[in-house]
Amino acid sequence: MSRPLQRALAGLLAALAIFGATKAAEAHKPSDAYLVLAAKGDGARGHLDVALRDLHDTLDLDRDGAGQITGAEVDEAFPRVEKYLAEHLALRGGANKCILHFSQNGIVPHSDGPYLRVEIDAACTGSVTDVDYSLFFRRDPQHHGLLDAGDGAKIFTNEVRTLPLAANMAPGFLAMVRDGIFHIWTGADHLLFLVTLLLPAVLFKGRKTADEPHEPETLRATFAGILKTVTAFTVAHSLTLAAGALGLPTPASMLVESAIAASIVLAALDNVRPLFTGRRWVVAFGLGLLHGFGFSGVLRDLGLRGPPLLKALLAFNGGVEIGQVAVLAVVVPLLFSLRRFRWYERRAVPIASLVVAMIAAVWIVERVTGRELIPG
Amino acid sequence: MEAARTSWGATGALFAAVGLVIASGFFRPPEVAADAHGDVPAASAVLLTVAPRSDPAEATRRALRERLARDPRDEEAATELAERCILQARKTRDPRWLGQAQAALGPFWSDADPSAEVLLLRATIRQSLHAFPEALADLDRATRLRADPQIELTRATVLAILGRFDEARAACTRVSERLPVVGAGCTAQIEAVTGSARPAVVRLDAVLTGAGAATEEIPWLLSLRAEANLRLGDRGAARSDLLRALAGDPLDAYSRILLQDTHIDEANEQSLAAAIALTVGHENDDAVMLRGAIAAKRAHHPQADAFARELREKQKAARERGDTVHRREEALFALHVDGDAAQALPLAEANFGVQKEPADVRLLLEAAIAAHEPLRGKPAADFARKTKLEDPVIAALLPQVPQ
Repeated sequence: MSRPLQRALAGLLAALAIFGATKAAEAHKPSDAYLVLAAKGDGARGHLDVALRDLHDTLDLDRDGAGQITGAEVDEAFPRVEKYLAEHLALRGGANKCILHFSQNGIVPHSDGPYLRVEIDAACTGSVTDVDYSLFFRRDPQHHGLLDAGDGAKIFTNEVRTLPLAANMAPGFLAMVRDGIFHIWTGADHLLFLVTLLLPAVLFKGRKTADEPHEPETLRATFAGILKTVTAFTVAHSLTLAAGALGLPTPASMLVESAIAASIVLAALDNVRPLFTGRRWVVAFGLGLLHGFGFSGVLRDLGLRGPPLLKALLAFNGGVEIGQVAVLAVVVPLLFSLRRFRWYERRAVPIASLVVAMIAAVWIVERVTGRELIPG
Repeated sequence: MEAARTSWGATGALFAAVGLVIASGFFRPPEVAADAHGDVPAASAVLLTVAPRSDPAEATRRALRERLARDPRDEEAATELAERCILQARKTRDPRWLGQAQAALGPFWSDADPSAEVLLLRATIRQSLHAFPEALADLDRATRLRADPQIELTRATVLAILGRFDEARAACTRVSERLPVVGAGCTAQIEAVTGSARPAVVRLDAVLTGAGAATEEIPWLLSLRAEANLRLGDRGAARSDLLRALAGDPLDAYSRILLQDTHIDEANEQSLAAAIALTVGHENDDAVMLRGAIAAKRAHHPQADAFARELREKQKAARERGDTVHRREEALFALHVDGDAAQALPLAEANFGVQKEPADVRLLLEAAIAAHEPLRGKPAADFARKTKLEDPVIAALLPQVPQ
């Protein structure tokens, strides 16, 4: 073969190699399944990813024997999959087995091909202490079950078929702090309430008209005033959060959620035309009590008792405050820098407040009727 | 109007900032993947291709499984199924088959007193899983039960991997008594790594030009001669033998990898392209793909990153399941793809603790030198000197390691 031809051929083959390489998603790997669990109220929730390949080897998914496993064949086989899982997977507290409910949740790709995702809902009489796992070992003793219960990976093997759970399943302190932060950041209503409180808070105190200039307050003084309001809000919601988490009776969630939305409407309208004659922090305290009930569901769902619950409460609440302070640190200086513009007090505050009031009003309707009007 | 313009800019800034704060909350899921769900496929979508029921090999395995379901102590069915699964593992390089081979042996796997046949199969599976000492223990027991060249050959292979060459040579001699051609290959394999690479080539020349070698033995003998020639620094001779071996048995992963390594050492544009080209149709083989990734990186191939990414993902999955089978590949990846000698060195050391083939010796030397800790390459250097390992690349590395 001539040298140029050889070179051209090598180039062509290399191109083919790459094409094949990027296309081949189904690399070889020993058999693994991935089990993710988290405590939830009385029991646990999570999911299991099992390789279609492994399901096929054990349950023969290829009904028509054509050598191709289709979506329909997987659907059709699911009752058998459920039965197999029920026989080879157990969550229990001591000798009390939880009742497991499995549901199909689509196909997930892993590095060695498609996996079936199965959602697991476990109803238990006490706390979950152990997981028993014996999937696929009969067909492949090299199979591993990778358990992720939030505290680093643990592995079921042919030799190790039981792993402890409950003690480690309570999320770590830092994880709870993070949850608190995210809870504040992802909860649109709390953010909106905060911003609503802040909009007029940076304005010159006692300022009646724009033609009467006053001594401008320093950023520090403004911040201190805001801090007082926010602290009142925080103390209040910590109280009800603790009460709710510790199991004291809480109002129905629909009521709480609707009342929170209503509180936002009121706070927003107050910015446009003062409704509350009392001190602002008293109002913030009252509304904070309401918001605390809203948070408490998160902790109740973890199903913790005793010291772990107190720890989680502390961490979660700390996270909520960190998230709040972070928002303040960004928003307050920004608003402070805007207050010198007349349009800020005259236009931006009322318009923004009205928009907030409208959004919150929609929430009230949604939460009372249970129907979603605006997606998100 | 100056003030008005500023004020509109500031309004924009205000809304952008508030929007950003809210958006940062909206788009960051608090619980990772807790609510993630998979794609719901169409009923007609083909999700996975498996062996069809009409496939004769699949039909045989099915029949054997049915026999075992009726009688789990049917040793003949168990060993035949295990053997077929091991063969399938070799052919497809899919480790799931090794697990299935183990399962096929069922109750015999953990018998207190397994037969020689079961011991040989168990050792073969254990060797494939890189459990070399356990494999050797099985083979030692098996030789006491039965004089069998197949057992002795497997024993010689495991002993050579462990660097116990005297015992390996003795095992090869026993193979020769019953199977002269296989025994010659076995002996040449040991000679090649113990300072007698030239006699090894001569021995293999004789076997390959004689009429004694069976067709299915020829690719194996060619790959052995290629290795002996590589020890002598003759990459050209090695390459042509490896190409012939692959022509005879395209599924011979060992020859394929060796050929890729030879191309990579050649280190010119054309040879690197050839090393990449050898991955075609073998995308499932991590070892083959690793060589492709190394060659792609050295050739500054546009897809080099894609190669590396895919391997990295597989390594992550292997680590998650607690596997250490692929230490050699992991170390090679760290050293030659990531260029991270500090990470490669402990892996290369751990690997050298398990296996001591020329590739392992070279890897530890290269990693230690690249990490500027040449002293940590000393075990490999000592081993190379003690066993009189011939190899021009290794010989060039040795002076860089303190004696």
